[in-house]
Amino acid sequence: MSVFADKKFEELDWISQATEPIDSQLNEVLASIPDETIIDFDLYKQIVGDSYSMDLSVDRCLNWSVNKYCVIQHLSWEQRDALKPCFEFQMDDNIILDFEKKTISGQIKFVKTQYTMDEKVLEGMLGRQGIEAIGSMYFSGAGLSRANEIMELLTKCESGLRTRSERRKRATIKQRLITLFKNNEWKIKDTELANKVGHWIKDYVCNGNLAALSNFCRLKVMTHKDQPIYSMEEVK
Amino acid sequence: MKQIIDIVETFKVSRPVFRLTFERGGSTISANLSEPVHIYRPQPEEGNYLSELVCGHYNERFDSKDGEFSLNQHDIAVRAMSEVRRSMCTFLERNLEMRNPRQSKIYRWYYRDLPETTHFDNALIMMYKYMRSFSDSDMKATNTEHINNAIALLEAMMEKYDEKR
Repeated sequence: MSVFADKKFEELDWISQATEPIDSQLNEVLASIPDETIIDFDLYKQIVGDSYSMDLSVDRCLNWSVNKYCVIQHLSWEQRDALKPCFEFQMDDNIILDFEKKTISGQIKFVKTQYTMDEKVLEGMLGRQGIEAIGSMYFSGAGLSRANEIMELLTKCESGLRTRSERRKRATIKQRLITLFKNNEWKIKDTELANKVGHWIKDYVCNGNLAALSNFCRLKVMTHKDQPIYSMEEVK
Repeated sequence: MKQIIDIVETFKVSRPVFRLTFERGGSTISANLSEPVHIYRPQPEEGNYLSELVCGHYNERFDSKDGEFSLNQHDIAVRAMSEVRRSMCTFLERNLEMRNPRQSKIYRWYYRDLPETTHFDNALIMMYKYMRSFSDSDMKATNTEHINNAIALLEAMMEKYDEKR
């Protein structure tokens, strides 16, 4: 049974096991950014760079902070959008930016307002990247029968199984994944693991990658326990 | 053209000092580059129509890399000269007593065949100053007594500078 063990879940403390919070890299990213960053002239120039626009936006400050403080530097637009409401600016009333003296008079602060990601935001992000990958899943010939296998495993895909159209099969898989994650039918509690589902399906249907199918099947088996899933042992 | 360049050379630039303000519900702090704290705008000499025209083309640009305002004097002078050239056509269009002034020989010449020489440019500047002395900013003559004289001068210039002859 160790193949289907969820090590991450077992390592959680009892209160986390009881409350089943969604785990996401974004919480790590959020934790690694300082609670408060004072923006002086040099920092302002670094953040704005050589861009024509001299505006200081939460977006720009967030990009700069992620690049400076976080190990994970590649964040999707969606992840950055989810992080944005966790920060705000605080600024004195009369701030003067002087390029002659290279100073900022008054104080501007980039402040963290939330210390963990909102559970509802994370719920909405479950599997999203994988679902986007399905949108660009093109296949033919053997791919059609592989798509059928996937739809049988996903269940509730009768309309996709009946048709021979590649486009409609793709749309059915995509729609099924959207519903599946929306209702959290498989109780996946890790955003990165949820995102992999779509990628595994695409890898198997397009390229016949058996490791991807194996991972997908393992996950499907784990869902039968009706327990929250935080991690699984993957075949590379 | 020298008269225009002399005016342009007196132009200065604004100081790169900006007031920062919150925008879009506080998620953006903006530095309004077109409204620096110490703004410079050239003041045209009173009664000098050429100075008025050149000042109208003043355009400074903030270079965020160097952190200062800069001015392209040559560009301003060229644009001012182009407007002087265009104003000849505008004057003819507004004041020539014809049903369709654009069909006239003189209008066509001033529209298409103007020589590109310094000597001719200087003559046009003199002409512009004279025409503005009795016209409004839209080149419509306010004193009709001078119209015929101005048109005769334009015709004389056409005769003199026509390169096709």
